[in-house]
Amino acid sequence: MSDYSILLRLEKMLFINYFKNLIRNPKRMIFYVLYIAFMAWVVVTNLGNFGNSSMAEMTNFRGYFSAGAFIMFFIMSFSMLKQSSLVFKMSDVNLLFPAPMDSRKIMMITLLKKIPTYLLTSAFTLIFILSMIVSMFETTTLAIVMTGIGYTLLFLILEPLSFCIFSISTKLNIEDFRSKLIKWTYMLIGLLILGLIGMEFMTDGFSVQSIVSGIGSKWLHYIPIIGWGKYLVMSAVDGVTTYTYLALAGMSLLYIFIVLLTFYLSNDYYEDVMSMSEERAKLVSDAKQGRTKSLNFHFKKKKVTMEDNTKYAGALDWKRQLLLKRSDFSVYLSMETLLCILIVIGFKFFVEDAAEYSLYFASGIYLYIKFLFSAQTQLDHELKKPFFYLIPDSPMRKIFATVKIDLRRFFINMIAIVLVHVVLNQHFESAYIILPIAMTLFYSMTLFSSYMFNIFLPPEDVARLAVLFKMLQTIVVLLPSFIVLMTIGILTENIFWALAGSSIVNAIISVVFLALSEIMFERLELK
Amino acid sequence: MLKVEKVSKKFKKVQAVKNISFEMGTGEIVGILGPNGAGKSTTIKMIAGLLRTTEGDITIDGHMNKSIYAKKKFAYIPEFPEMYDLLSVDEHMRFIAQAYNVDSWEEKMVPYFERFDLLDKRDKLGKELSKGMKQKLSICCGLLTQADLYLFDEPMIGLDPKAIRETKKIMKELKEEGKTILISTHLLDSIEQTCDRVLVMKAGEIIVDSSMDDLKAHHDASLEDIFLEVTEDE
Repeated sequence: MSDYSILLRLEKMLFINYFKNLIRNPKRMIFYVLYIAFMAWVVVTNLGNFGNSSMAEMTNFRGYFSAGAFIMFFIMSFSMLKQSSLVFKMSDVNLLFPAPMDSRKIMMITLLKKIPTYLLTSAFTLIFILSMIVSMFETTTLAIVMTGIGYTLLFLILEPLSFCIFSISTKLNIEDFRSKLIKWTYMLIGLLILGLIGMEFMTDGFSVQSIVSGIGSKWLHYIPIIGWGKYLVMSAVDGVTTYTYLALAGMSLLYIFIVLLTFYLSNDYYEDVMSMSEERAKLVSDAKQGRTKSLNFHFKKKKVTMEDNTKYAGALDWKRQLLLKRSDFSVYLSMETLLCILIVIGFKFFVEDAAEYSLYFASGIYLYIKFLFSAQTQLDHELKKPFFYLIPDSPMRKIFATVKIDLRRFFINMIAIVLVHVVLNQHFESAYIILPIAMTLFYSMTLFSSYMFNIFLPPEDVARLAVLFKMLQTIVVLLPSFIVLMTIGILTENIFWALAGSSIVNAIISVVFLALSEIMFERLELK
Repeated sequence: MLKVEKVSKKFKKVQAVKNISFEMGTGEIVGILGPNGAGKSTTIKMIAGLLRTTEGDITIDGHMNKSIYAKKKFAYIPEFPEMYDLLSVDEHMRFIAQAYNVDSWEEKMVPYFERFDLLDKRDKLGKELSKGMKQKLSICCGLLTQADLYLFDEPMIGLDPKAIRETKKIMKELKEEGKTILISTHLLDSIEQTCDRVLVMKAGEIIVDSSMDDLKAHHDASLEDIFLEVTEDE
């Protein structure tokens, strides 16, 4: 039996077992069906909402799509090229690599199986975007196909390319130079983008539109891979031009070249991919246990002293304070505070005629981001650790001790947002007094409700079905607060009272969740 | 069977293995001992072709260790038994049988499964196995290859006492069949009971290369005492 035949048989067994395993777990099946229903709902809603929009109104969207796509590909390609992103499973390292098989054939099958994976991933992602694009812009089937091919080709190129760069650098023993070269290249592109934005500022003035135009500039389309890829992906929005075919030809030829180069270089690559494979295995294992890496900025202060005057559940609060003191500006002031202030300043300078509402927009954005990440908070990390359950104290006190700092920090950040807004805009309303309290209570409710999802499904599914959970959370937990907010707002036409009413509802829901913590703990401990 | 000649390994600025040389004859069982970070696993991974040598050559039965011929001659049982999550125990064996071209693999695997209590787990997926079970499966996969040289990297970790006993028995049986075994372990009694020869590594170097009999004759102490004596910092 040839090596290719053996490897394809292995892939076939893995593929069949994946579906067998899915069918064997009815709870998972139900959630996946729910997820598909949710996606279908998003697609239908997108098509319906934008069906009557005129092209003229969509001019700005075109620019935002273009700039957004470029930024996404810029960041994605940088993070993929920084290290060899072609990773294998540790099972491959243990069983496949020592086996009497040609390492080149193993690599070729690995690249081959990426094609359907990326085609599916791109189809999956594009379903959401394309349904909106189709309804917003007059697009063609050909343009949609080009978008799909562009998206898939971009992913297909980046993985072997990063492997080739990594492999060449290790063979020539110039690993340090490789990482510098990639950084310099991306810094150069970054400078080019800044230059283009600067030119837009000079011609069209200082505005968000100028930034968007700079990032979406046609000059960036000539950059290989990210520029070509972005141009292809934007086909559904901008239409198919001669340059689309040129970009497609460029990307296709580059892919063929990189595959051939990969084949040539893959006579001895096991060591190159092993450390990444080990790292990936650790990340997967951490994710399965609900431990995810925080993306926050961290200081590394070594000597930090903390007064020790807590006991039982208070130890959790003490530990959190110590870690924050070591890794952040201080226990209460964080990078987040700085970002909040920057959001307010951004609104002041970039969004014209919105001074009156900019505080609510800025607070809304901040709360929305916190809401999206509310399932990855300190509480969720602590709940995965056995000692959390062993501390001799009531679950309610332990939960409260864990989130106390998060709530205080959120409250301080909200005050910072309000103060900076008032100072910058010389504008004050009575509702500003209650806004930090209302937002903090809203945040506390999202925190207390988010960890509940961990009770129903294993962590790996929680991560996969995060979007569905957020939708359910919005409906079940956040809706009462919204209804009260809107009702009081319409009846009184006063934001202060609307926020006060919503705060009371959020406080009640938070208390209910805390009161239920005893039962939830029992379920979590069992898991 | 195995020849390691002036082999060194450097990871960026760390010299993990320094100019080591040793040979293993057919039917020999050699144990590698050493404190954590001594270079034992790195050495075994270099022999298995998973890591490159910075300097030096490794040959198996006269062929470079990364050649297909050499790979047919050895089996590698890794330190961390990560198996395919979505392959059953039986399917793992099927894959190994195909990869190493083993005939009548179904008949050959049954005795191994019996000895490691895996018979009732044959339909279980890799992800459904405990760490100990994975280790047992990993050993079974290695044994099924019918290789001439076996590279065991900490094979006893996570095994229950019965499986440890079986592993030791199997090693002796393999020796009787004329197979060669290189084993890295911290379980000194296992080395004492099974190995003909011991290599003690420290800071990337082989500081002792001696037959078990010679070692005991010269030191008149248990292997544990000898190990602690030779690896003690000066």
